[in-house]
Amino acid sequence: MKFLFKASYDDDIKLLKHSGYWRAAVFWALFSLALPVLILALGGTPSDLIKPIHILVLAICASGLMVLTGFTGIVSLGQGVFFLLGAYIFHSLLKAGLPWYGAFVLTPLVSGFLGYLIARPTLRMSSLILAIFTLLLMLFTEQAMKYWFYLGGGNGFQVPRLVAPGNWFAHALMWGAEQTGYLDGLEPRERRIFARSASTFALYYGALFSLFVLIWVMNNLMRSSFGRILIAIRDSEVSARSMGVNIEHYKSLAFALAGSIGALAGIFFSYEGNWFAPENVNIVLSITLLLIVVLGGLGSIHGAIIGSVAYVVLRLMLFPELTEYFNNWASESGGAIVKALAWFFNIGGLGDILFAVLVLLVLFTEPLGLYARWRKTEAFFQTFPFYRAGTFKRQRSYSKTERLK
Amino acid sequence: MEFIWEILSPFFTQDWLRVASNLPQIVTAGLATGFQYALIAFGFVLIYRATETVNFAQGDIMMVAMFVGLGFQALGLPWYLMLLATLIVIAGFGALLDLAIFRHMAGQSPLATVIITIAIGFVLRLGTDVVVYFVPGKLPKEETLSPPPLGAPIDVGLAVINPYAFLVIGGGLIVLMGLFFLLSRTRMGIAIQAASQNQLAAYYQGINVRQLNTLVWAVAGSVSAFAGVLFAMDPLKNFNSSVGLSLTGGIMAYAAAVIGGLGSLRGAVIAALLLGVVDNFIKSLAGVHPLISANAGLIFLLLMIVFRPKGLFPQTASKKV
Repeated sequence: MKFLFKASYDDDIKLLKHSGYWRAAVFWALFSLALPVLILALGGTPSDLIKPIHILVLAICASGLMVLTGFTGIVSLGQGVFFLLGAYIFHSLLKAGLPWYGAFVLTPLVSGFLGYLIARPTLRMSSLILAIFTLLLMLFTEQAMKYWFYLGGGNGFQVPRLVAPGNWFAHALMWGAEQTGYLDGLEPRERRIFARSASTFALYYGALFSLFVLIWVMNNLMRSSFGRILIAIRDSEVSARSMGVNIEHYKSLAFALAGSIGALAGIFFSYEGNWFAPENVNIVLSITLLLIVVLGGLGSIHGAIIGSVAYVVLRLMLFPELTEYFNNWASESGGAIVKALAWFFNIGGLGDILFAVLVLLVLFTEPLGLYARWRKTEAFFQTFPFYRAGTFKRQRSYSKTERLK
Repeated sequence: MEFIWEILSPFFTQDWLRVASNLPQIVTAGLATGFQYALIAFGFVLIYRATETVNFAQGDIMMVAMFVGLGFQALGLPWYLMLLATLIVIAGFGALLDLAIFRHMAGQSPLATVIITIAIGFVLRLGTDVVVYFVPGKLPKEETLSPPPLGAPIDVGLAVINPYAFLVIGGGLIVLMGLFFLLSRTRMGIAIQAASQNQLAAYYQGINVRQLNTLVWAVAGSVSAFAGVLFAMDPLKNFNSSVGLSLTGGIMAYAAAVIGGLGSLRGAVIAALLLGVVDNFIKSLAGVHPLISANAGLIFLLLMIVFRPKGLFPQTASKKV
């Protein structure tokens, strides 16, 4: 067991409370920094990095939603709106001739302002109406983006090669390759592939550093008065108001924050492929983001990250593998059961359905998501022979009705 | 600016005389769509009022009803027996959902309940696909139910109206009036109303609220089953298992329930009818921008929510300290 000796009040609110936190932080930072090298060392290609990049992008977007759903208690099915808007605003600004970093800074600001505008009419809605409003808004945005003719309308647009934020990084890679003479031995085609890989690396590290900064900022924000106010609003609007909190103002700010973080994720998302079209972000992705947040665990940044890792690993890596496995098996031997299984795995949208069912099962056993399970396992080992199941006993919270007439 | 003009100009250059002459036809077609939404929205609101569960699976229950109806039709039942059998089966299914799942969700956070209903919707869709695949004799995946013999389109002087529209409007009116009668005049209906206003007080009066909730789920299930059968009888539309959460099915009905002032049955029905008519009206105008005409209902709903967030017939007073 670990006993913490607290010598000052700061010890209660420190981000890294003891050496265990330090070890975990350093481990995960080093692991994520070294991941591309590990993948290459294990015989992978730079294109294998797309999955980790997708995890990072989803984690950024989900932590935006976490501000809204996990901390402020606003259920939004419309995080995809900002995801989509971010990509479109960013590339419009680029096309209009803004420098890369300028557009990179401006896009979250513009999107955050839009989030603030969207929030204004929603403030007096009950949570359910708001959920349906955001759902409709997402459906509408999906259609409306087809008329953004500045960027090709419904056909989408060609994403320009990423030069920054890995500008220095990609260039350093290229420079290193030139200096060591690695490029001299390559044919022009291989050179192009190398340049493309360099920009994949740049995308990975760009998204990773953004996530690092985001985690640091969010954790600090959530222990500041701003974060405490959001949590107070989530737990009880009435008591927050009676403590003198301007609920409308802070709810709008939460929306704006979610909007700008969503747009940030949208920027990186647009670089994942070389073609971006409005249907890349659809209502299913928007609902999936909410499921990710719930699966990971509401009320912590950890939840957003764990949720996106679980989503990408289970839904985007394991599920296609299984499908392919059964398809191969069915084509080799034609047993009726195997054929039925292969058919089952080829049902359109099955992956999303299974993911939803998984979230359902997790919710039944663990209402606070995977992160809560992690905390329990941690506590079990920390207090090893003395763990009591009652420590984390679920309390039924009877939510008060919204119908006050 | 050009874009805004492109959107607004058709409303100024419209040949309103032509529109007016088509109005009866537009309105009846709109009402026909509206009644389908209204029936789903009715079940949605009924469940919300009684149990405070926001049931996003209502549209998928409707979808299941379509396929159950299709199964009964394949067995050779005439349409009235098919309708009756479907209503009974889906009522039982609704009651089962409550007994198995939602009864145990009382007191959990509303978000968990909402997500569970979304997931149940997904499961129903998947289950339908699987069942349809394994049923001997292979039900076709996209089908229409054969409606009762209706005859040729009827000329009422001002317009030529598809008899299917009459079927939906007539059937919807009868069922909705019956339900309103049930809720306001019978002992059971009064008990449901009492329980939905204050569960605890209803308990103290000796009402078995748990049983009543199961009953509400059954009634809501059979109402949406009725909607499903009507929906599936539309000779112009095929249906498949994704109709439950689509823009022509479930989602519009939920939104109608919301702009009706969530919790108001009357409001939900009126909003759904209004939605059907407005949607059809905008679509029938000439030269409207495709973004507007394809999403007329959606835009109408968004504007309604923005300008009347409390709905047509507000049910909640704002929280005061």
